[in-house]
Amino acid sequence: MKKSFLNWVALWLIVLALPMAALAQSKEQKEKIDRMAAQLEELKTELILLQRQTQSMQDTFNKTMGELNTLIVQMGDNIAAVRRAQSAISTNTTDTSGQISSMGERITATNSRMERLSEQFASLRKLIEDIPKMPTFTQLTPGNAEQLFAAAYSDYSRGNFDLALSEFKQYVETFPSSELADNAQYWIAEILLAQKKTNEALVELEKVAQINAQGDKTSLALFKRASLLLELGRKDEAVAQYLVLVKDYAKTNEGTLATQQLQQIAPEALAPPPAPEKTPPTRRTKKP
Amino acid sequence: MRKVLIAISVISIVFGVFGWGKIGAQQQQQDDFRKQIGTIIVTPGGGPSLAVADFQSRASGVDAVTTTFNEVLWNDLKFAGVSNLVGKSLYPKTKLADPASLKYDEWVNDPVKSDYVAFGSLTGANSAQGYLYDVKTQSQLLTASLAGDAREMAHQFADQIVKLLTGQDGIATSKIAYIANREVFMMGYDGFGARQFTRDGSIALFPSLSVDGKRLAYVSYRSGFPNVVVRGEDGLIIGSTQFKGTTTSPSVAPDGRIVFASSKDGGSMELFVANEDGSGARRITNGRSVNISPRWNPKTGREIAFVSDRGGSPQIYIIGADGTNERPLLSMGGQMDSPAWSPDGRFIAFTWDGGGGGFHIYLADVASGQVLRLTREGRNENPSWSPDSRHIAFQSNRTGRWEIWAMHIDGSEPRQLTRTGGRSPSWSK
Repeated sequence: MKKSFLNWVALWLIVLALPMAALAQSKEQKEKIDRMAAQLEELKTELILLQRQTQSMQDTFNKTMGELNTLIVQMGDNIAAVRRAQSAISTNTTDTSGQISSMGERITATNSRMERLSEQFASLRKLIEDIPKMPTFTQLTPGNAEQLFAAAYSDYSRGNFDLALSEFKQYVETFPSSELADNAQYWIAEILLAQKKTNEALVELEKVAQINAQGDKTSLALFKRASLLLELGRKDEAVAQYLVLVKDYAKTNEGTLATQQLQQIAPEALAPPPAPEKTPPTRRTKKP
Repeated sequence: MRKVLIAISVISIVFGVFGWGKIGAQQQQQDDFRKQIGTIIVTPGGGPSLAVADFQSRASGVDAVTTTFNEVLWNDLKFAGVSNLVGKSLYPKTKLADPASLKYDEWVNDPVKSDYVAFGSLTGANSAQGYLYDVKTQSQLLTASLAGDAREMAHQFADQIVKLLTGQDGIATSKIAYIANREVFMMGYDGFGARQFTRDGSIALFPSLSVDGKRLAYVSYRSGFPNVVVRGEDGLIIGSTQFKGTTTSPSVAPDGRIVFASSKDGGSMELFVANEDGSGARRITNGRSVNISPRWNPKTGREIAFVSDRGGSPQIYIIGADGTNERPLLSMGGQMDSPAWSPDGRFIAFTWDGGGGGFHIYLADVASGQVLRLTREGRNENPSWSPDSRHIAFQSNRTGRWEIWAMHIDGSEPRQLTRTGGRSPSWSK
C-alpha cells in the first residue's frame, strides 16, 4: 500500500515536472531570442554609425583630395615648365648649356614634388585608415527612437537621402508600434520619390496605412499614391484611391483635395449612385 | 495642520523632482545645442592655427595697395572662422615674401606655434603671388597667382585657403543683394563694392538671390501692382507675375522655380509656386489664414518653410513643394517671421518677438526643433544665410537706422556692412 502510494506520488511528480521543464526550456529560448533581438538592434545601430562615419570619411576625403589636386596641379606646372625648357633647347642651340642646366633644375624640382606627392599619398592612406577611430555622432544612442527619427529627418533635410532612407527603415523595423512609425514609413516613400524611384515609392506609400490606418500621415500617403498613379497613367486605380480618401478621410485636407481632383478627372465617380429601378416584386420559387 | 504640511512637502518634492528636473533638462539641451553650434565656428584655441604674414611689395608704388590687400585678407580669414588666427605681434621680425625666406622653426615654435603660414608678395598693383605652407610637415599646400584689384586678390586667396583647410567653398567672393532707396543694390559680402542693380523708379522689395547667385527675384511696383520680377545676373528681365493683388517675398528654388505669397486678385494671402519666369503660378496653400514669407529648402528643393497665423498667431510651418504635408515646425507663441533655410538644409533662422520681448534673430534645428537666440541689441529682422551655412546676414536698427549686418552662426562677431541704410539682405554665391 505504502509502495503503491510512493509510486503514485513519483508518477505525479514526473507529470508535474515535465511541463515545468518544458516551460523552463521555452523561457530559456525566449531569453535567447530576446538576446538575439537586442544584438540585432545593436548591429543595426552600428550600421547606422558606420554609414555616418563613411559620410564623415567622404568629407575628409574630399578635403584631402583638394590638397592632392593642388599638388597635382603644381606638378603639372613643373612638367609644363620642363617641356617649355626642352622646346627652348631645341630652338635655341646657342644657349644649350644654360637650358640644360635649367632643365636639370626643373627635373630636380619635379622629382622633389613627386617625392612630396608620394608622402601625401601615404598620409592620405593613413588618414583613411584612421577615420573609423574618429569621434562620430555620439548623440545617437541605441534604442532611442526620438533621436533616430530626428537624425533621419535631419539627413533628409540635408539631402543625404541614402543615409536618411536606411535610418527611417531602421526606425520602422525597430519601433513598428511607435507613434511615429507611420511618419517614418511616409518619409521612406518621400525619399524614394526624391530619388525618382516611383514604383518603389508606390509600394512604400501603401504600407503607411498598413502601419496605422488613422495616423497623421495616412491620408497624405494615400493622396500621394493616387496622384502618382495618375501621373503614371493608371487613372482607374487613381480614381479608386481618391474615392477611398473621399469616403474614409473626408474631414482631412487630403480628403478635400481628393474631391477637387475627382471633380476634374472623373466627376461621374462623385455622383451619387442611381436609385434602383422599381420593378414589380417577383415571387421566388423554392429551390428543390 | 500636520496634513497640510505633509501635502505641501509632497508637492514640493514632486515639483522638485519633476519640475526642476524638466527645467534642468531643457537648460542642458539648450547648452548642448549652443555647444554644437559653437563647433561650427573655430574659436581661439579650438582649431588649427593659421599665421598670415603680411604680403610684401615687390614693385614700386604699390605700398597702399599692399596695405589694403593685407587688411582685407586678414578680415576675410578672421570672419571665415575656419582656423585660429595667430596674432601678428607674435610673428618673427624677418619679412616673408617667398618660400626661400621661410624658416619653419620660427613659425612652429613659441610664441607663434602655428600649423599653417600664409604669405606672399604683390608683384604689381593688380598681381600677386600667394603661398600656404603646412609648417609642421614642412610642405607647400598652395601656391596661387592672383589677379585683380587688392580686394579681389585678397578675397580669392582667402577663399583658396578656406577651400584647402575645409574642403568647402569660402564666402569671401560671395555677394549680398539688399534694398536701399527703394531699389535693389548688390555689394560684396564685407559691405564693399555696393552698386545699384535695379532702376525701376518705383518701389522694390524682398530681393531673393538664387542658390547659384545667377538670378534675382524681387517684388516691384513697376507694373502698378506689386509683382514678382525675375532678372538674370546681367540685369535683364527673365519674367514676372501678372497679379493684381498684394504679392510679397519670393524665393528661388535650386531648380529655378519661384515660391511667393500673394492675394492674387484680392483674396487671402496664399503661397504660389511658379516657373522660373513667373509663369504657370499654382496655389499650394488652401486656407482662410494668412500665409506669407515662404523660403525653399535650398538643399533639396522639396520643402518650403513659411509663416501662417492659422493657429492664432504667426508661427513657422513647413509644406511640401507640391502643396501637401503641411505641418508646424515651431510653436512658441508670440510673433514669428521671415524664416530662412540654411543652404545645407540643417537649420532655419527666423525672427521672433520672444512673446513680446522685441524682435531678434533665432536659429532652429529643423530635425530636433531646438532653438538658439543669436542677437540681443536693437531690433533684428530678415535673416539670410551665407552660401557656406556658417554665417547670417540680417537687418538691424541697433545704430538708430536700419542697416545690414552679418554675424557667425552662433551670433558672435557681428559686423556692420552698410553705413547709409539697408534692408532685406539676400546672400548668395
